[in-house]
Amino acid sequence: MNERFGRFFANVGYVGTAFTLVIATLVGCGGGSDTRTATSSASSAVDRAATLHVIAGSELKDLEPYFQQIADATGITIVPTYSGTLAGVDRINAGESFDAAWFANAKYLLLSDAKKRVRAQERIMLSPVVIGVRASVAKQFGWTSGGTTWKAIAARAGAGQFHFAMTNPTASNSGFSAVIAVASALVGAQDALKASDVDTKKLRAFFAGQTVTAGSSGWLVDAYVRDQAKLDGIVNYESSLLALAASGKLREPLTLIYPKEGVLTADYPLLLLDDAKRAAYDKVTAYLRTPDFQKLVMTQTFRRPVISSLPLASVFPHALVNEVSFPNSLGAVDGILGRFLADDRVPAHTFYVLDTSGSMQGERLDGVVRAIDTLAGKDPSVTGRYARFQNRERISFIAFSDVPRAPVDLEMHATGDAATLGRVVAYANDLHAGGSTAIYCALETALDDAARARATEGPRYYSIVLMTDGENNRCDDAATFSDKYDRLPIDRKIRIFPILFGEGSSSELEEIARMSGGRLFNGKTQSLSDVFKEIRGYQ
Amino acid sequence: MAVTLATDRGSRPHMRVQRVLAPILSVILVVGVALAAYVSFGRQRAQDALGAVATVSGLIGSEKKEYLEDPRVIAILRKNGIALQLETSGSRNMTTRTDLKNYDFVFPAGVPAAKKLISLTHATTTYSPFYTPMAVASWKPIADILIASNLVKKVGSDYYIIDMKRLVSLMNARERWNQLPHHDAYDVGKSVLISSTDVTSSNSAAMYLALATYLLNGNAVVQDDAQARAVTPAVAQLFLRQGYQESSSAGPFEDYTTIGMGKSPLVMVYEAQFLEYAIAHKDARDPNMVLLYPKPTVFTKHVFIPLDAKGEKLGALLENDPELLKLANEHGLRTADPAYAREFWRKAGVHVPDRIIDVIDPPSYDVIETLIRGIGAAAATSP
Repeated sequence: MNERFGRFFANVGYVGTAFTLVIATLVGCGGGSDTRTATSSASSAVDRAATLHVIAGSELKDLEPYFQQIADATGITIVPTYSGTLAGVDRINAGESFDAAWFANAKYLLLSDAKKRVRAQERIMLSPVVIGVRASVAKQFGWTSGGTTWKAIAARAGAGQFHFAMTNPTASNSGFSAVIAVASALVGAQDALKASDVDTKKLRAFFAGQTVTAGSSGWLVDAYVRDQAKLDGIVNYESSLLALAASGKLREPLTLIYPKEGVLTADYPLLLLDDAKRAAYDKVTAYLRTPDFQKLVMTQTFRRPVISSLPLASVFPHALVNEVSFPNSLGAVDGILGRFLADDRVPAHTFYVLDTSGSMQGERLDGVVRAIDTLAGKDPSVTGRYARFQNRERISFIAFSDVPRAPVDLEMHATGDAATLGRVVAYANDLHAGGSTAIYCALETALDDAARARATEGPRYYSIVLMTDGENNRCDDAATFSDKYDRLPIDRKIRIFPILFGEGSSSELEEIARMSGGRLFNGKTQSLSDVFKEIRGYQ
Repeated sequence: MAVTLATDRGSRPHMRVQRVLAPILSVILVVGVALAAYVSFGRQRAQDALGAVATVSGLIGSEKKEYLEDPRVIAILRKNGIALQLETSGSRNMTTRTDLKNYDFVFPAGVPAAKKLISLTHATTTYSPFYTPMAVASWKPIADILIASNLVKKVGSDYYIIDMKRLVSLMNARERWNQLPHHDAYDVGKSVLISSTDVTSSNSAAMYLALATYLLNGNAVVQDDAQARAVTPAVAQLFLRQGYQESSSAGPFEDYTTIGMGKSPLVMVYEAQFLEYAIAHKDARDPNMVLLYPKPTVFTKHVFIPLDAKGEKLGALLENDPELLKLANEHGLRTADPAYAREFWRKAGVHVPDRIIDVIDPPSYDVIETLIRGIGAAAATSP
């Protein structure tokens, strides 16, 4: 199919070129400076009409290679701004201007106030959120028939026999869909779930098996590939798992399980937000739903088509995929997510390693204080609410300059624990800048503390956030640290999430993220508060 | 152009002609294309400027989009000097729009929303070119399970009738699919429920509400607040237990056609939606897709409300042009004369009841409002 498709477009391309030549000749014949002025102003008017600024989920990045083809066919260029779904709701509510929005699932948005901005909607493709299990594990547990349930998976996870990766439901739609499906399944819900239906004990057993979390579905796949020896399964879009299976990166094939109690399917609706762009929106949605494009999406990105004239490719199972109901109100969704964070999930213990060297003086340190305040509850936006420190969570701050200062360890004892949050704010306000920059010795302290904590506190997500604005100039250097990290036993290798800021060295920070299985965040292109919120997805 | 070539060729030596003619011809070609484009553009502009083709803009229920965007419909309208500019909206949502004056017409589904819109816009004439009964889109294995419980009966080899009173009471008893006998083909623990649109925004859900409240009110159309209050608790759960609902009738029907039986075992639809889909997908349609007719059922009349002279002209055309009415039949809509539809649908391989006899009237717009407010209040008190 691909070859034929390629030829087809090569032909279209050729015709297009010939046509362009004719037009160029005509304009050339016209000559005259007046003509040229008129032409250029006309073309800029066309340019404005011919773009569609879309706030889009990061799951849609895999369609970017086809944007040119969409532009060739429709004359309209999609200009994406990538964002998480909930962050997108915040940005739309804050009045940011986009022509359209395109997320894997728009139900949260459509239940929220942002719905008022939606002028039209059209779904583009489908992918259920399912669980991929290593083939040998699936066989061992007898999860190879169609009747496998979330309940059976929960039993193995609760007994410590099944470990899986899943995204954070407040940061990513795949985790969000799984939480709704699993929470419904474990209580045998017959109707759309309400927060009061959730059974914390059962959910805790299921999520005890979740050993990897992430802020995006794409990063989760990379983390699974890296840690596949330690993991038995991964919750993600069917499309991501089929793409992973086809990538050649798996040491053992995955068995895709569509649990019998039901799953939630992402339907990727394209939402029109600006009435003035209706013509462009109509053209693009019509093209995205043509049989040719739907077929391309199905064969290249493993999303299911939304037009039924296209037969499903053979990689998709034809068995019944049962669908759970999505809750009917924002209150129910917020209640379920709130309970997940406060009670059901494995709690986090994060070590914030904060640079307080002399160069941090002034606006930079103020940015850090604001970022910490955000996590202490001072941001009322949707993402701000979900980024707050949660019940049962532990937080350790390690400020450093010439040497690491004594760590400050805090624990949340309730949702919105005012005493602990007050100490967080007080700690941030007490930070002072001065001295030089001992990045690696501070990280070594954090790794030691994290190892000690892991030995005494039991199961938590342990991770380190490194915020520095400069290059290391004291104590151990990068090579020494790298040696030491390599020699750590596996259970002491904690993920590190560095933030690039000020004059920080992007190559060194990138290397820290790479060796520890963390991820580098950019604090130069967005505020530290936004970066701190985004990293919460990985904690 | 070909004629020019032949004449020239006759009067000049061959070789030179080709060499000289090639560049000349390409210039002629380019100029010719440009000229043709310019002339036709000019004509088009002249015609539009004279008012021969006027853009007529309107707000329509999403279920009529495919009909009104059918190239054959567009061609007939264009011949009559009309170019349509359409925007879709839930029919009930139209009644809350504050920008109706920007349109030449509104074309909602359902008499209750239409009556409200007539009073809001002070429209004096209306047109009702076609109507469609409410039906339930389902699947053969699901129909078989319901037949085994005497909730559904097959008529001939073609369509099914639902005993709606019994189905409503079974749904209100919170029965699950896997509690019904012979449920092997649908062994899931979900409630037996009909999915619908959001009752606050869409006519098709309001028609489901009309039907359910009629049955819960002892086979009588709900007339007043007291009756409305009495049936609210039972009818509210038919909607609230469904979970998230789409605001327009295209949404749940697309769930049905694309996600399938796992999401949508029973969906309240317009008969026309199902027929339109079945006709368009004659060879590609899942053979398990079946249409169930509730007994009793309720009709949705599509009421065209002109807001100015341009709308007026379009409405008259839609109601009276025989070709447009036939095309409406081809999109699954029923018109006053059933002859063409009967023949066309039969040829397309879809079999539907010729006449539907057990039909109730929907309550008034105000009673529907009261019922919907009651459902909203019930939603607010359920945690």
